[in-house]
Amino acid sequence: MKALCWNGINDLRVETVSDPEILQPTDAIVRVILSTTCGSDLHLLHGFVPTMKPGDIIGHEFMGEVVEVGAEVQRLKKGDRVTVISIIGCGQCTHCQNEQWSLCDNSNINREPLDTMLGHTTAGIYGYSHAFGGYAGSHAEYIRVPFADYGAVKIPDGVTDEQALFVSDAVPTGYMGADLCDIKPGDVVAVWGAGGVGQMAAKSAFLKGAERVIVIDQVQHRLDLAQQMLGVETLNTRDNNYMHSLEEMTGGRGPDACIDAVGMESDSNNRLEDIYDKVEQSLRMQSDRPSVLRHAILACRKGGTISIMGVYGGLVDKLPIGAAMNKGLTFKMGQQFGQKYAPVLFEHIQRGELDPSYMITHKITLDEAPEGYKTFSKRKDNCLRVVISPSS
Amino acid sequence: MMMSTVLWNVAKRSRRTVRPGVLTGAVATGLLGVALYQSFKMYHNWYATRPTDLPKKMGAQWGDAHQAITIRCSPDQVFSLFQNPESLAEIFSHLSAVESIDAERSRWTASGLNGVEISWDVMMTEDIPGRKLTWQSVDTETSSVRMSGSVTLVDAPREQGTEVHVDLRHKPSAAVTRAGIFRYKPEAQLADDLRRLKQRLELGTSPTIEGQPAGSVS
Repeated sequence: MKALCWNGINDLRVETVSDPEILQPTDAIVRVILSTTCGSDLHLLHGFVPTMKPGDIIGHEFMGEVVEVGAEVQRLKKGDRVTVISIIGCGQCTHCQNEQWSLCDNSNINREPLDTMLGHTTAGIYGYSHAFGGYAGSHAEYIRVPFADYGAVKIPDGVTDEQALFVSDAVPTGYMGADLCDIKPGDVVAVWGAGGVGQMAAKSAFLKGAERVIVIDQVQHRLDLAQQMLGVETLNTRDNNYMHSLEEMTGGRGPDACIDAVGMESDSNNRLEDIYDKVEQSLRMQSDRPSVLRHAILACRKGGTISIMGVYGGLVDKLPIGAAMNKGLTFKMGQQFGQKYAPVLFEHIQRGELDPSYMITHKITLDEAPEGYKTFSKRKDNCLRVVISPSS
Repeated sequence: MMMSTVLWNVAKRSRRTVRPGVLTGAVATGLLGVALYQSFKMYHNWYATRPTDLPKKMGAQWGDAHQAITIRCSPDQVFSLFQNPESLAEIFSHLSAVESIDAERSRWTASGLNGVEISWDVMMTEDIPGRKLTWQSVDTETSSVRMSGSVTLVDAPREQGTEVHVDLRHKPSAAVTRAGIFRYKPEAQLADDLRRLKQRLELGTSPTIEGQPAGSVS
């Protein structure tokens, strides 16, 4: 089959590889119908996630059709249309039993990298480096899905492939970001980042009862899309007074909850801060650029909540922890618990309250994927998400 | 601000002997150096795992190891595995075989460097069902290692299963010092062993990616 392989920093190639096989009785093989680029893939492409190996198949957000099941798979059968949650949970450990799927004790086959970097090993992720288990990714014609009974969620009737695709990652990540904010009626929620996760966090904040949602980004066409599709207010960080504007828009209180949907490669509106962060990153004095997190902490209402859904990998510098402590902020964060949220998300889609398919701005074949990532990375041509259709 | 005040005062006091600009510059450079070094060191410690470290660095080693893990199962399930000499060799990857000699004694064998077989006889010294097992090597002519070890089982709070605490200590005789029985850092090897045990008890198997597709470069 054909697959998109990582061969080094900004070096993606479409290669012919062997077809995946059932390796364990709880596996299923899925024919990939749609697989999307994700902002977190850019961290791999830019070399910020260690333990990638040349030849690794990338891609983690996808849906498809079950073509084969292992002997112990009980809930799936050949022909089922499924969305596969991008983070792998074994279903048996204490964390999976408590629906904290991304904290799974067992699915990541490599213990040492994350034990060293994080103190404890978290779940495996498709196509996301050997620190996260080294599982082959979804930008391929077929993929092996381990622990398929838990990770592959059947798509209900009436939900299209395009709607179901983002239930793999962007929708549950955004939804969890809002869920963690404990939103109460009348709350104002600010979301940094108008990419896939940010758009879905903004939508989910409304679903959870927020009165107003303010989306913040530096890419105007993404802000316009969020305004048009979700009815949010927007702020562009290229306006140097955006923090002041945010303060004014919230009556001087600041947002009740702030969601960071950007993560480790954020750009600041302050040129000096940006240069400082990039120099520290290149000198290996910090691995992640946290300007969004700094701004969110400073902007957040006293006693408010910061919800971090953008991916961070390691160390950050000059985090205003004093502001966070003295303002009594609550921090909530984590990789998504997709297996927990998928059923409720499909219900929202079926009721017509949620339709993530508008985020597909580009649809391409697997052969076009290296070029597609360039468009996605540079946000060219009003790009929000590039979706790969491997069988076309 | 505070730092610049300190530097200015130091410079002011030294004005008669050293030009303030030179001294301030020297102190500032020194401090910057320390800051850079410390910052880089913290980053490096975090970034210690690079692709080149996979698979782990090999090398014959001796050593002590202490590790704990929580497994979602009953203490009795863990206990029966540690009590059975045959399954000990499946749990501990540094052992190639464990054979029963009688009800209390067993012979433990490990492969050292260059395939040298190292054996020692072990006596069970404590056996509290479902709670604790301790072992101690017995001095015999065939024993080339002095060893002791224990496994202690504790109920984890909130019904999270069983805490498994393992302690292994080894003292090789002069003849086998260079052979080594651990293939990498003993603490890390034991941590991997216990994680595999957890997967065996919680899943019945260990997850794998062996045999999955990859590009031609790897």
